[in-house]
Amino acid sequence: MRANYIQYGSPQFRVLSDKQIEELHFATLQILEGTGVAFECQEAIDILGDAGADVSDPNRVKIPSYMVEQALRTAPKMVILYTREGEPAIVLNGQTGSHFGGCPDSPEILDPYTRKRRTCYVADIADNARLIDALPNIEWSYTSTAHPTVPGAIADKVTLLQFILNCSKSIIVEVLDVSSLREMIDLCSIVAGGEEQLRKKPFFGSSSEPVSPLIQGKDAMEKSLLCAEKGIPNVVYGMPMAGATAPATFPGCLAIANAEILSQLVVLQLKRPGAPVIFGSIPSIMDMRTTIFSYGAPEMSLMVGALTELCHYYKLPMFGTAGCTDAEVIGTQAGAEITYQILLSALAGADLVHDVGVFRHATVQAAELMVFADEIIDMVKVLMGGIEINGETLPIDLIERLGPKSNYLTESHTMKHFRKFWVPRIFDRSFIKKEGVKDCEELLNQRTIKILETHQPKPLPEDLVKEVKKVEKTWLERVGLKEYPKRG
Amino acid sequence: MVSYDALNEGVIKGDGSAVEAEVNRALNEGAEARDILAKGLIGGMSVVGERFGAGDMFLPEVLMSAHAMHQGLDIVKPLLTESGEKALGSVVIGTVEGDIHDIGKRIVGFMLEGNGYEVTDLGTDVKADAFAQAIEEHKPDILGMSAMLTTTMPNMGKTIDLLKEKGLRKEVKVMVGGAPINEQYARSIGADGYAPEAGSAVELVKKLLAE
Repeated sequence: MRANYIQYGSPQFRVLSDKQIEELHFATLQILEGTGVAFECQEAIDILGDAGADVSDPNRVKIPSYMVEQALRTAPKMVILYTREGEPAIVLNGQTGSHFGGCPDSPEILDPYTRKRRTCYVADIADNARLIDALPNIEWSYTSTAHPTVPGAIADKVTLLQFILNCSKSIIVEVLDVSSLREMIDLCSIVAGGEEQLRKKPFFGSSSEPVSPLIQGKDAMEKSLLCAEKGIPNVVYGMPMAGATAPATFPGCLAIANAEILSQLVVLQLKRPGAPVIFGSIPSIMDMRTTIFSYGAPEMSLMVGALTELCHYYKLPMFGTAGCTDAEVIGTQAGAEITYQILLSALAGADLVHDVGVFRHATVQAAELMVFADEIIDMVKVLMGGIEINGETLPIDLIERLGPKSNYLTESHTMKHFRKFWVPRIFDRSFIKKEGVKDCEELLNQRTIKILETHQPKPLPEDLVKEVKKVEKTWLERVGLKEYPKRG
Repeated sequence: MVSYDALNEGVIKGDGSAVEAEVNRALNEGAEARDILAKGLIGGMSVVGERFGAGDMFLPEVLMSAHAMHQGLDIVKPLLTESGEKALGSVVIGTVEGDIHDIGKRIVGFMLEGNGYEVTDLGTDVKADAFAQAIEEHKPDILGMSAMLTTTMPNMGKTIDLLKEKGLRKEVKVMVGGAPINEQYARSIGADGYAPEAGSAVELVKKLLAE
């Protein structure tokens, strides 16, 4: 019998105290009520005006705090993402830890065969989708829509389709505009077996970005409103850059980030109470030597950690960022940045964590870095498992029985537990190097190529393939292409 | 012989009032406006540019310097116009249609101004027509377009096409930039140059003007 005993199921981690979180919350309310947010979408302005916001100046729409509190009450505390087949895959409720997502497309990719940067072709998106399908710790995917070999008018839909054809996992997309989002919803409805089915078991979600500081653009808001109307999960995230588009201090940047998300949340909850929204932001710094938005800065991870706590204070799921790097080659910097970001995300418990494998300031996607991150997440899972203490794990009787000068190798207790030790797949622990010394990058490259050459994803049923290909044909015709440009 | 050390130093430190005082002192000592500009103000900014490039100065400091440089430029500019001196060059910049990202383009504008170029910033969400109109109105040497989104970058090419249609393409050099843009893309849409960030945008403007 234990009295007042608390068992930690994971390591404990906090960036902010409860009082600090409340202070940020109230600062945000003050910004929304006093400073206001610029809205460029008339429907959103009308919705806010009708509900009691001061919309006399669209560049400073002022939202009273009771409207924010009301939105926080109706926003779903849980969003579930499904697989392409309609199985529950990721439960986002602030309780299930971090779920990391890769990215299949980018302006360029790092070719695992030549190990050089080059243009990302449609076939590369299919390869990356298959890789994501194969990697157990990459649970979903976020698309960037940024591949350049097909016209921008269809690029977002092409990525989505390549993903659907090559991977069963959930996907969040970056969408060109609201009419493209309609087409995507139609496409995904085919796969899910109807729009109602898609709404009930969404394997697909959209995203929309406020622009920092404090701007809700027209296109982004229109996409969000359609998501709310259709009940499609919607990630709302800005990218405030401390020192450039937000104050240079962490709380200042966080308050801007929060005001951007909450102001949009208010509109969406008014549009349709219960609209599923995933709260997010990528708060980082502007690197003042290079002017870049840093994807590797420790400040980013620290602020994402703080924002996760704020988001969980609202009991909303958090869209985080980790597993990316500013580096331009696969090496020490990439490894270090990816690793601590993943660890920090996991410790903070950010729910839906995107950007695994993204490097060179989010302009290149590296298959090898997704494989690397998969390994790191595997390690981090061991750390996040914490230490459970009970009679079995703290075997005083066994220690007493064996005493000093003994060994534990042949004990049944060891047999029972040693399999829980983590076994690396890429990191080398061998002492004798039969095939000579290989660096980690080489082992990583070999593993990546092996997966790419062997993994066969579960195919989409043939009748569905036929249907979605029909839709694809209309896109190609629209931009005057017979087929996608071929790589190489 | 007028010394520009103190003026250079004022620019480098971003001390506007020192710059004003030094420009006025140089004028009183009989220095020519174009020397004050070239040796004093631009001279100071080129040290700033070098230090920024070497990682010894940071962007906010550079922008302070650019601001201070402008306080000096405001004094000598009327004198330069009087004596018929040609400005260093003029640039029209803007973020393309559908894109409301401002900060990157704005930094480029600050840096160009800080290096003595005349900059007209058309703002964000600038339609191809508005770019064409600005070229007719301001007759700049260079047009700079920015796009932050992969979904809006095609509008750079559309603008260039419109300039061709209107017979304006040969009137200006076109440079482009923004997170998803690269050299290859810039070439594919028929731009004259691409700069990955603000420092190289200044270098690119110099290069394009020299062509």
